[in-house]
Amino acid sequence: MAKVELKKLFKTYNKKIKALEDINLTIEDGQFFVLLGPSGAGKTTTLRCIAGLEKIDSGDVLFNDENITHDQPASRDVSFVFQQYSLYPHYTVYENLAFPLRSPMRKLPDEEIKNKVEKIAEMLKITNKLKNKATELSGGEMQRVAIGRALVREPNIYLMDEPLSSLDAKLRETLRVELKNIQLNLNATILYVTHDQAEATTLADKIGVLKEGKIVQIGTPEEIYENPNSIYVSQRLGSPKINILPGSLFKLDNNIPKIGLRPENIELGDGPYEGKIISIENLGSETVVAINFQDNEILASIQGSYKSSINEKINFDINTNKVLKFDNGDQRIHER
Amino acid sequence: MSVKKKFKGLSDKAVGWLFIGPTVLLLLAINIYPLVYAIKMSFTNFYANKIGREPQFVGLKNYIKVLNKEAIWEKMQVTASFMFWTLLLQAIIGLGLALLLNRKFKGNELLTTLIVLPMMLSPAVVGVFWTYLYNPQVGLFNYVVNFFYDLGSFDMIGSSTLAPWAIVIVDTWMWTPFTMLICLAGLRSVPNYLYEAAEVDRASKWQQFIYITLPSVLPFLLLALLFRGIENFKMFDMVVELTSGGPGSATELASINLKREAFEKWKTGYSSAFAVILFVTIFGFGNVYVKVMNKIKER
Repeated sequence: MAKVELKKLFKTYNKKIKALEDINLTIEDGQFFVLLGPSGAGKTTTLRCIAGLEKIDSGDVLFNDENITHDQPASRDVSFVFQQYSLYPHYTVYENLAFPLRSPMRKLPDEEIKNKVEKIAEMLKITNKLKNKATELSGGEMQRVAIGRALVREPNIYLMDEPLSSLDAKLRETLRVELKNIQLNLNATILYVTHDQAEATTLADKIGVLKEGKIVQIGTPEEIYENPNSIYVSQRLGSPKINILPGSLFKLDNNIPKIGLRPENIELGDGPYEGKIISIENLGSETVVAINFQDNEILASIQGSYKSSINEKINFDINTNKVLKFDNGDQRIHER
Repeated sequence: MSVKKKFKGLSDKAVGWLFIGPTVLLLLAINIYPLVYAIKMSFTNFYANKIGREPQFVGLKNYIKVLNKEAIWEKMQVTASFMFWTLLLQAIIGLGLALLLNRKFKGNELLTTLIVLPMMLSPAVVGVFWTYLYNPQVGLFNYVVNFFYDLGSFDMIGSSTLAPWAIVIVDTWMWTPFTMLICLAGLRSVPNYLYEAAEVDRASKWQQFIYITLPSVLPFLLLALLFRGIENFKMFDMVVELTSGGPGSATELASINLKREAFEKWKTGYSSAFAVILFVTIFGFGNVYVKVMNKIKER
């Protein structure tokens, strides 16, 4: 595994559409790095630039401090899980998994190939499907084979492009846990792209938040959640999502244009503020209450269930220590 | 209710028959009826030029005669070798051209159109103008061959060893574009991400060809060869114009021999039996081939 660095990466499509602008990031050896952002933010393009599937306009890609910017994909030795399954349709699951091991750059004896394929198949629970044709699998199985095809070798870095996005919720959760375990066992360097915040927070050692081709913040999941540097970043993580409200709404310091208030930092039942309940959503372990307060909708989440009804008046308080303050440009105001 | 009934129109089934009806009638009239008639004739000693003579039932005599005639097996051999070489060359060159044209380069589309042109000509016309190209004195073919390698004077059509190659070359020239077009369609259907995945998996170009390109294009190629095989089994017009089956009977394909027996010697019963044998042969081969092809497709 390798340390992967991107330095001042620029990429435009068709000489017009800016895809990446000044991307700088370092993925340490053995790190699980997640790129988070909505579609069109440049996540996939970043992966493809690292893999060498796209030519970059300028900038450098470094593997273990070695500049490989102009190397062909094959000589970079990376593995890629594509968003669409991209299995070789005419071959069995076994052949698909063995394919990367048959490369002329990595000729292995058949016995060793067999061992590796079987080990990976067991890890991903597809042993009983090894003889199936790639096209005779369900979506979840196909994606596990695609992940297996990447994991069967030890490249410099694993690149994963929303590998779980097309699976159903339950399988996604299972595979998420498996993937994290696999990464810890192999001490693998992974760059993982997603727009799913649950995947980002559970998997990542570090998260890079992308916005329109630029990296706006890099940090641990905790840092990104608790210390976002802009409204945009604060909205990436947290469910139910953060309340962005006018700064004048509560009794705080003056001259704060906007504040961000996470739903769990609102206490219901008692307090100086009075609003009206718009809706109550019981999610089992928590309940999300939407409150109308001076024509602003505020989401509050509390543990367990909450007994009240819509249109009732409600008093609440906010945890002023946890209020995030933003300026007019939606950037964070840091307290001195 | 009554209004509804009035506008009910035809049922789906009726509309279906209305659409295929004309075709079915046409097929019955010009394909099925002659076939049945020919089968009937093949058991008689009918001579179409002897008017007024009632044909008599002779049983399997015609069939035995055809199958025991050594000349027939020679024609079959000529046909088989013609088919083997044309199909082989058209498969290799057609796939090769398709692979080249599948790359992106300037003038790609214009070149495709130009390559496809021979296929659009009439086979008889092609036969006629290739006789000029093959002319040993003024023909372009001999000139070009001698330009690269001096063979001296040779006559493609006049020599009984070269004439079979002459018809193979013309058929390949004319019909390679067909296999090429169908292979090209197959190649275009391969999603690009498979090649990207293979590249990241560090497969060589050769492995990419064997693992991705070939299995994707093979069903297409086999289909093209099936069409070409059926066509060339009954090849007639081009070869008649080019060599009329000669010299001697070096290029006398089964179909040409059949035409001679039927419409020059007027042995109608005998040639009907021959035609039925040819029909059964191509029908049998065709069916086996389609079965194999489907197996490969499923793979």
